[in-house]
Amino acid sequence: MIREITHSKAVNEAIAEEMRRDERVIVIGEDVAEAGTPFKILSGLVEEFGTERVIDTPIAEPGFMGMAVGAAMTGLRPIVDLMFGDFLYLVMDQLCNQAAKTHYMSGGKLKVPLVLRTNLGATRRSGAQHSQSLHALVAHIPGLKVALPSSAYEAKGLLKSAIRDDNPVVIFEDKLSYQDKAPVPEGEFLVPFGEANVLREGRDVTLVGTSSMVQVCSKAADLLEEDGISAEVIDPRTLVPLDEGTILDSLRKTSRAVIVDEGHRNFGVTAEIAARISEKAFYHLDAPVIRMGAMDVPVPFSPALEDLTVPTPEAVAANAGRICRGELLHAP
Amino acid sequence: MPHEVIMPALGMAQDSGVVVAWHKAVGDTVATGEVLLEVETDKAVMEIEAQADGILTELRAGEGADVPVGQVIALIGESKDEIKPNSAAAPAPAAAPPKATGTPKADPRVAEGPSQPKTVERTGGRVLASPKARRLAAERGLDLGRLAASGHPQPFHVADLEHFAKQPAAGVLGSGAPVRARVRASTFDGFLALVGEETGQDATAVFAAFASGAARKAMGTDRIVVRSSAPSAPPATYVDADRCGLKSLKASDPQAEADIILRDLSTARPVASGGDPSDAPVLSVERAGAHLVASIAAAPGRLDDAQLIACLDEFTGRLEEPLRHLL
Repeated sequence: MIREITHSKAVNEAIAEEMRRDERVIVIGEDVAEAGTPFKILSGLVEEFGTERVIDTPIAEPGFMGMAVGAAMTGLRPIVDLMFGDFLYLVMDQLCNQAAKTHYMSGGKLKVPLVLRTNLGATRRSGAQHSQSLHALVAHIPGLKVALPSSAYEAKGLLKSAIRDDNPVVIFEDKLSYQDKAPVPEGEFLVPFGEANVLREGRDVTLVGTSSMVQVCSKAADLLEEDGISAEVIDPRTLVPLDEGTILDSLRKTSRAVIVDEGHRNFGVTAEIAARISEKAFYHLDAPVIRMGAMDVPVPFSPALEDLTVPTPEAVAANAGRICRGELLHAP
Repeated sequence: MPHEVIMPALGMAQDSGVVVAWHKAVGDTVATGEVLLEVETDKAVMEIEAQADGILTELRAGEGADVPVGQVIALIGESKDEIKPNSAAAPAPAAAPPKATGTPKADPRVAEGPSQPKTVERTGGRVLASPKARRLAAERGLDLGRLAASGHPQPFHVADLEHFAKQPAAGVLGSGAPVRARVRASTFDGFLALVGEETGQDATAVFAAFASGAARKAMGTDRIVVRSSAPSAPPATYVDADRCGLKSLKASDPQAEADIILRDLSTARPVASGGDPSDAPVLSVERAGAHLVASIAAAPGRLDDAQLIACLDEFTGRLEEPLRHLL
């Protein structure tokens, strides 16, 4: 019987284990030490590792992100805590112009082994500026790796892999799942980048879900089963690198796909995955590839409206059902 | 600019056509409507008329050539000066009538002109099929055009390939056949109970408001008039029913010409309903167990398929998630 721990505990364990293993690993960000973090994830770290390695900063994201990039270039392995994924806009230059390009522009002489830990996800009643899922922005930038853990198990295994990676990695945790529990083995394990997880095998349709949408897809698969439709559920786990092979193999088997991601639907992650399927498995498609994402509006503050903007298991099942029944999805 | 003569698409499944004979040679004067050449498809041989006046300046496909649809096969220019020197080598017109003499009008799908069935127009002469169905059909040597000709509904998916072995089913998409969609009724019913309590509106009025919003999305017009009919109530006319709150929604202006007719059959067994004097599209809602089934149909030329589907999609989206009506 494997113990069950929360997503938040899994993150804490990953950081603590890596800090014990490698003294170059540090944590830097707002309220990461004495104040404790808003999501109570980092509690206990400053007591064990001290304020030299767990560094509280002023509320100045561009500043501490720049410091971390410099620290990474000169020998440390910083884990930057960005309190909300929405604040990515503040650190874009440090992340995308500096961290992502330094290894390339220095002719390989410099490395930036940095982890940017942040989060995504709506339906937490946090308003439009604290509810976005912006992973597509960074997945677009060559030189950055992007991981999207969907459970406590992935949260620990992917974060440990991220910390050991010599490249800058942005890891997005789902704020809403911090208290969700999942079986996580005691002791050392890693989840490698670029290896998708097939949560459930199926015959009729492939549901590709990321992060918060993995559970949505699993529940949709339960609903579909009631209607006699067998759905396969795939969690890519990392967007960069993307495990295309697992997705394409599944599609070749099922001939149909619904891609679900909590980022905005327009120009998003779902578009990239759907396009790769169309390019590389076109002759196996028996229906249009469906993309589902957050509605293309600022996330509303009204709870009732906010919930509407995010894909639900019922909506995913409805779309999957339509393509499995061969319904006409657009005019000829 | 010389006029380009292209290999025409004469049938739904046609990828190419064979040039049987040219009736004109390079240098000949051509008038619009004159027979220019004969083309053979797998169905028939047809005479193709010139679509421009001028001089035939170039032939690019010789007799017997199998040419992909859409490819330029000849040029009609303004004067003989445009004839290129090497065009002399172009194939000469047939001296005698061709061997095959199919009756061009025998197959209605191949016929051109106003009598052409809607499906051919709407599919742009192509058979609608999924990439996988197309690939499997090719591998098994099945002609999807035959399935289309049998009237089996498009688009074709892999499951439809079985119908090659069966009796063909009736009904092709379009041709005035209604488009239907089904959603779970539970969310709407909860919403309706709340609306009834708060505003006193009944299901028909709420459907009318949804239909108004859906029609606006699909038609893109500024003023939308919905005429509702239900077995249990007199017809009512609503103007811009989606633009006022449900509380202040009320019927008005019975003389206004309806943009869309809403038929609420959700509280009754479906009955044969009388025709409406106008030919506005008709959106019907009925119950089937735990589901609401909405269907939409329009007279030819009134709304195209894209608009019908957009309207139905928006309407059922609101049934499925009534709060969308507020966004």
